[in-house]
Amino acid sequence: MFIGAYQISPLLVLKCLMNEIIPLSGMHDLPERGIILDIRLPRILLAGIVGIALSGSGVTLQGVFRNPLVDPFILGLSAGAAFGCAVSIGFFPAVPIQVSAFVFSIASVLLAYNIAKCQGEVSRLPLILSGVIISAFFSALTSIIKFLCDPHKLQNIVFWLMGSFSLADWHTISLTGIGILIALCPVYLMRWRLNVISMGDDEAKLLGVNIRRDRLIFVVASTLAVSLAVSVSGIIGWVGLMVPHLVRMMTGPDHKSLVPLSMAAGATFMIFADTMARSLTTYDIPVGIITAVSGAPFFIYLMKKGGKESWGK
Amino acid sequence: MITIKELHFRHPHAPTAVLKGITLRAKRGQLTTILGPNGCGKSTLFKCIAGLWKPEQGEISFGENSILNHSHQQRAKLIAVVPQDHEPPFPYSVIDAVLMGRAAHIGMFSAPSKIDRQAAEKAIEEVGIGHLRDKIYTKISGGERQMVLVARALAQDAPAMLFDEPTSHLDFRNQVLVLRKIREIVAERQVTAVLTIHDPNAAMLFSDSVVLINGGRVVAQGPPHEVITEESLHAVYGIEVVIGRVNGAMVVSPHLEASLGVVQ
Repeated sequence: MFIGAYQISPLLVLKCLMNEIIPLSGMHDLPERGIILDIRLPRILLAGIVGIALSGSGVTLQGVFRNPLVDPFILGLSAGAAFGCAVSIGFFPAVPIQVSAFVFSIASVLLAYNIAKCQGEVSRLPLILSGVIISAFFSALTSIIKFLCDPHKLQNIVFWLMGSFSLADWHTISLTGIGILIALCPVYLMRWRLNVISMGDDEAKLLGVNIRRDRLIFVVASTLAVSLAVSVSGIIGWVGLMVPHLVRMMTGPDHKSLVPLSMAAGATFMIFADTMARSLTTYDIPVGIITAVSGAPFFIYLMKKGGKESWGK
Repeated sequence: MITIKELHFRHPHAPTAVLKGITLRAKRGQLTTILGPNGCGKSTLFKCIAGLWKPEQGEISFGENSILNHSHQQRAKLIAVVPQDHEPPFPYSVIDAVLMGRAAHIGMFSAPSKIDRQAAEKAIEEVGIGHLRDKIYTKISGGERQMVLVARALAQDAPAMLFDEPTSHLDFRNQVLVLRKIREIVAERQVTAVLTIHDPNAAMLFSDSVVLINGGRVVAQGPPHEVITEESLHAVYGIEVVIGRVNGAMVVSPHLEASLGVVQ
């Protein structure tokens, strides 16, 4: 919280935070207090919550689709949500962006899944390909909207699509934060079942799991979390892919510990990336650029390391 | 005891049925093998008992009760299934894989309890793979993986067990080891065990009762030496065989001089 365009010493930050709990003398009128409590603190919290949403749903989708190479971004879910938000900002301000983001992201994940399913069992490569197709499709639709809507709104959409936390305030945090945490509750509670589900449909049935119901819950819950995240921060890719992978490498694939650890690591990573975004240059770079710049090489590294195995059947 | 009555199965839109009235019975504490050539309906029958496919008509019951309309969870508490070799997408440890056998006993919003962990540890000991406990499930050999799947089924704690060609991917030594272990378990736990297999010798050596299937129908059912005869194998597989005694056990050997006929 002491890093940023306006230099504030760590001690002062601590003092300001203390002040909220035990009022200290002479703290009220400091301009730093406003910067810390109304700009930096909400922004950091929001980054953390969005990190939880993205990597929590990343790990869930990887388990449900039995595919270590998917995340909300690759499956086209983020693009769907972004389109939903753009529609709502550009043309239907009456529809809450969260609602339209959710509708379009659930549509995109179902589309991606069903396109991949055309060839029988859903295997790894087709699912990624259909995610790419869906992503491209919704990005194109988003472009149409950018093209058609008036320039004032266009600027809003463009800035927000790049992915940034700079618009964070207490109102967005309380709303989306609570929404995301509620959406991820079933994921957290049912996390051990992801182990069983990741063994495949038939296996899961033989072991006594109602796979259709459970998969639906997982997909809807993680889609809801991601669309809420996208609606406040725009598209931030790769987090949902990278973080669960790193955690899996360190602690193993058991979802019982993988899910909470991924969520925690996602929050940490996101806050770190956002801090980089706002402090590397004098400008506030959209954090989506930071994650993409670090994510793409990571993905290539995974493919190289996994070799043929990661491409799958 | 598993009882199957007049079971018919047809794939959707397929002109001919795969199972044409299968009736059989598998007793408690016995190993019942379903033997037959490729395409005879073994796997279909297996999937029907396991609840993956719904038969067109007929009845499958465990004890007195029909299990055809059981949910997957209800069925998993009665029948533990050991599938053929498969590859999970994530490198789970062996103990994690065995724990998955407890899924039917674990509530939707819960993780394995102490009791579940104990059941898994016990199953691992029982199968004799304690040394594999913390190994990576995707990196052990096919024979070891089959043993892990057996342990997983044991952890499931069901009164019946179903094995899908457990030896088809294994080398000679592992075939014997796995089948011997299965026999031990059946005797110890007094479960009702059904096993599909395509090797008549294995069926002869290891089973208490054999159901010979061909063309979706049961050809014969009974003790191995009564069902597996030179005549019945000739009728089902279309080749001449000789059955002789080696070291006290009956052994089937193809009769190489006789015409083998056309490979089907």
